[in-house]
Amino acid sequence: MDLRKNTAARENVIHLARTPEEKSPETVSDNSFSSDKTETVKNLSGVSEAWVADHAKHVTRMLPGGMFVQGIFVTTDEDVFEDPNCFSKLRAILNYTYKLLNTNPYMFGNCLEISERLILHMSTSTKVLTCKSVEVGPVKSTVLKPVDWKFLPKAQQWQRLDCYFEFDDVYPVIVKKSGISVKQQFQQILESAHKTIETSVMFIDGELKNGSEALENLNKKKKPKTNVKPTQQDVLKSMQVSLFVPFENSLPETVEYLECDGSIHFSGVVSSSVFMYPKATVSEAITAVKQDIVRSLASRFTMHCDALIDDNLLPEEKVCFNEPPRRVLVPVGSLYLCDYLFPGEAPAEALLSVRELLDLQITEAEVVCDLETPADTSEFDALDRDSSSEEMLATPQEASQFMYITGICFAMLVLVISIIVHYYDSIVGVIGKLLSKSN
Amino acid sequence: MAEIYKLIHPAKYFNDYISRDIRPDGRKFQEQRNLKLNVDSLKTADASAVVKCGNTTVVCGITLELAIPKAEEPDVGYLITNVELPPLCSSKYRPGPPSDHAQITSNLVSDIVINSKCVDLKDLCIVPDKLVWVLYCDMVCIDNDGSLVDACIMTLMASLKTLNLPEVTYNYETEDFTVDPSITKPLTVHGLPVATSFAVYKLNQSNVILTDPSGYEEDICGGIGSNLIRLSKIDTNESTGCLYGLMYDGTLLVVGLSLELFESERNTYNQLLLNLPTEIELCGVIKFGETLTTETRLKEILQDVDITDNPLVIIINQKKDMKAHFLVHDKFEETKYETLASDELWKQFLHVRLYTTIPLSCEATIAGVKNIMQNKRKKIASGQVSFHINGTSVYLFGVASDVGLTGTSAEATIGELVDSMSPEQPKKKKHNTNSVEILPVNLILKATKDILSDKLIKTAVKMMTTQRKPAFCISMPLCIDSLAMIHRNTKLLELYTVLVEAACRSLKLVESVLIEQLGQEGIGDGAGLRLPQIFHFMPQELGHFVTRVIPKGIPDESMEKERRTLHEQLGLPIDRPIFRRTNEYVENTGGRLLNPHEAIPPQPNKGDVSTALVRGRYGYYHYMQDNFNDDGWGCAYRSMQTIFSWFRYQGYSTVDAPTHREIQQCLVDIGDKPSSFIGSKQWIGSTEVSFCLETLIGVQSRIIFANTGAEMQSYTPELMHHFRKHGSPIMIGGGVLAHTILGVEFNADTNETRYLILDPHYTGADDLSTVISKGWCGWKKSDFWNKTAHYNMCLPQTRPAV
Repeated sequence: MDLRKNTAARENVIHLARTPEEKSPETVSDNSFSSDKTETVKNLSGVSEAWVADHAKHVTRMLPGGMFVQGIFVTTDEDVFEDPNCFSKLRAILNYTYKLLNTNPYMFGNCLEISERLILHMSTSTKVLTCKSVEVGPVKSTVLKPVDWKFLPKAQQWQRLDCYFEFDDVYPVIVKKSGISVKQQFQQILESAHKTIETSVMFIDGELKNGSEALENLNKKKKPKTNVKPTQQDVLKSMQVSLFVPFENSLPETVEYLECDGSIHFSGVVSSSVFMYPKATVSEAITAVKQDIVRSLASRFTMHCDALIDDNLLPEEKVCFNEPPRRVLVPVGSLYLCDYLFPGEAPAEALLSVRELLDLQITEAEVVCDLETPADTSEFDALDRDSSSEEMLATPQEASQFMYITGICFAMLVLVISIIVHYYDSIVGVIGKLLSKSN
Repeated sequence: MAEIYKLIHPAKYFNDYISRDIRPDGRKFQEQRNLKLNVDSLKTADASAVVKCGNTTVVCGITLELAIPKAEEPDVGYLITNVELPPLCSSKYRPGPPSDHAQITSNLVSDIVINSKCVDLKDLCIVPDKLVWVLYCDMVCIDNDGSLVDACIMTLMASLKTLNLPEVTYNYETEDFTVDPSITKPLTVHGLPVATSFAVYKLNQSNVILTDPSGYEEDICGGIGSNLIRLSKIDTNESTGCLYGLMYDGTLLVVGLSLELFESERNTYNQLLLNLPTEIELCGVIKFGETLTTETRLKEILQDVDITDNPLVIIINQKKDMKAHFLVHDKFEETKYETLASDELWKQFLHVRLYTTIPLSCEATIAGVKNIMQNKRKKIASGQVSFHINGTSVYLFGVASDVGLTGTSAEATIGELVDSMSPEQPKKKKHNTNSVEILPVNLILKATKDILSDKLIKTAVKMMTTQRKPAFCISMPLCIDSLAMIHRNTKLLELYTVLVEAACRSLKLVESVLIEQLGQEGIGDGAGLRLPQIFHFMPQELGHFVTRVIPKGIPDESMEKERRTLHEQLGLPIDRPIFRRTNEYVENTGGRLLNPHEAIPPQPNKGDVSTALVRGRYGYYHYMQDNFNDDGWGCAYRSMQTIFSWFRYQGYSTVDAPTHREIQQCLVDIGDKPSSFIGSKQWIGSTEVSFCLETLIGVQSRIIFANTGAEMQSYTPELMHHFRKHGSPIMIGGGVLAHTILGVEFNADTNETRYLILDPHYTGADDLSTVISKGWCGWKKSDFWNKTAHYNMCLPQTRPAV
């Protein structure tokens, strides 16, 4: 599916996710959903930009590296591109989303290479799909460019790359009277992790690959016979990624000497699974994996801090344990997006957010939740016994509640940059569902 | 001619005499020179004497003063000796502050007089705690022709024996005193210490002892101090040392040795080993003596040899015959050995240099440092680290990965890799055969876990904050910079374990320096902790690398003791710096050329030729360098820069070669030139060079004038002596262009002298082959000098230092 011929890149839209309704009851029923829809068509101007942007932010957390929220999807009976009010509203939504996603650079919410966002419109009356692109961000061009929207005839194959990135660092800290801000510590860890990961060297299946080579060629070289007849069932073997960190040689040449009264031990793994279009190059894959690890860390930290009652670790607390949510994978078609589970949460929680944020129905069995394991609290208990001091399990009470808007039916276009594959079945399914509901 | 023969072939000349059982001045070996003694020669002094031993003449005068005694020794007077060696007495001394030799002699004379107890210092007490005599004993040498100490002691004792102390009355109430010179009593002198110097000369592997050596004999027999100590060790059968080497292909290559200094605590060799490149291990002992018996001490050392089951024992007897033995099942088996020349060695072996900086933060205590260092070493040894050979796509992996290396075939050797990296033509490579090849390697840490590994713990990231009592922490970039010496045929796969060991060795070395610092008073809490910096040295005398960790910012001067120990351990001369920061090994890659003369193809030997060359490293400074146009006027400046670079590279100074402007500024500052001189294009000569050397780095120079170019020939012995003694480059200027002389060669058959000239007038790029082929650095015959022009030479002098 060739979306844009004017740029070298093609984009693969893999999923259209409906923005949940504002202030809806906790469980969104299919019925209420359909009725809202007709209303939304009428008042596009009543849609809150913040709400849509928030949806985009939450969806970004669920995306593996290399995937981005790439635009919005509108179903109305008017032609949104002709009506200047509608169009400026859509632009406002896109720009607002762009800005919000830019607030946390470690989320990689906006794809840096592409400043254009898509608007996909389906007319409820004619059932015709129109797709246009518009520039967002600092560029002030309001020109709408037509985009060629195509459905792929069959399910796209994805090259999966997996790795476990391990952390095991001890930092000295200075505990002030006011205590330590968890958020600040996480931010520092994130910054140093980002630096480390950026400078690291990536190997695929134990070998250093040429950055300009396509991923599919790597496989062909290995087993030249298997890919002769690619069928829909032919699942590409996952590639194992390893990252090697060179030590930076630019540290200041001085001995720092400071009084500190605590230490932070940051340990554990971040599992990473990214899905690349097989024609993508090795360097694109490397960027995606690196983004994925940092994005996952940032997502966990934000979710954890959002749910904390008190950000400060007080001086009296001798040992304190912060356990951010862990990553689980949720299937979307033939690839996986991810979600995060707080300690103590069941995989069913993932189903909920998948349904709310992605508008997808999956079963609990489909959630891959053994990718990472929750921290073994016995380690902590042992420490607790040793220190015989107070402790605090800074586990948030509840996963962040997502507020839902009633409103227009927007769909987020989740795109994979320069790796294109469209997800035919899913799209058709969603659209079909929408159509049936609206009728 | 005999005089030239004596200077050019000093050893041969001297040998000829000694082998005929006579000394050059006609004395027998044990014969003293004639003595002449005259007392009360000076009217200004309270006591005086002049002594003449052969030509050595020393005047001693004692002046009296009254002083308050030291509080801790209230009834002891003072005897202060001072030996002066003015330039008058020998060409070896320059005007200026007392030379080291004068100070050493002065201390020695003082020690002899005080320790022999010939003068009881309590006799100098007038009133305890209030008033004592001070004897200022000034000895001035008028002519120094050897055995200086003997003469000094003699004249001092003669003066003391004639010294009369006047009567002093002390009024306890007013604390006033009166001196009555009319009533005197002589100073009591018990006994008469006599000093006799001996020189030990090695002739055909036996030692000849010469009594009362003349100045010339002292020079021939070498530095008095160090050689005697070494010889005495050899004589007493006590000196033993450790041998270090590496095994390759079933062959043991002995790379270096150290003398075991028994004063310090046990196993100094273990610590020293950390300073050597990885792969070099303890491999045996060396023994200076006749018999093969091994003491328990040696057996202990031999038990520490891990590298081979059969440790090596080398015996060097008094005749300097060397025999090598392997200890096989507690029995010695003599073995044959070969000696490898250095160029042959570097054809077979190369060095790998591991360089990385890792962040380190830990508690500022000895335990904290030990702990973190052990953790780092564990981590490195755990197989998680990998190594990247810089400039290639070759990565080496540890056990944590499935494959050992990537980027090249598993069978590749290090030599093949190095050859493939430098596509130089074989002809050009020949230039470098004598040099050491170093392969740089970086350390990277595997941050991901293998999914298939059984040990995979998939616990999601978590943060644990622990608070404890306030403590001090240090955090610093920890530099790992380590060398390993390996055979070119070593497989790359085998390099991994070598590099791990290299990293661990470097960490251990840094740890020892950190702990030593933390243990010191004043910085025990870590606040004054200095960053350890790593330096590699390749002393020409050793032929292998020595790595040192030096805390940043501590001046070289304050670490002399440490360096002296290292010199002694490694059996190095203690008259010149070898392990100062600026002695650091520098790779000759790009930029300014270093020692271009080493690339001059060797000349066919034409008969009886003796050569003396510059000793050590220098930089080739010439016209147009550093984007500065000095074409036509800057040759002397450039020659001076070359000399400055030599002093810096030899560790004598830390000052970089001054720019033209700095040179001019210096000459204006000392009043030699008007201020308009700054920024001008005026020439300078050899005297200006000597002024700058003295002002900027405290180096004194000897200036030699040659009235014509034809006269240059007669200074051959002087130049020869200069290069042998000091080894510094000589600047020559005068009526014509300035040049740098790097060496002289004298052919006794043809009576011709040739000069190794470094020409600062070169304006081209720093390309070694051009410089050599076009003769910008090369041997010139005597006709190089203009027959009619006058010349003056600046011979920068060195001072003994460590």
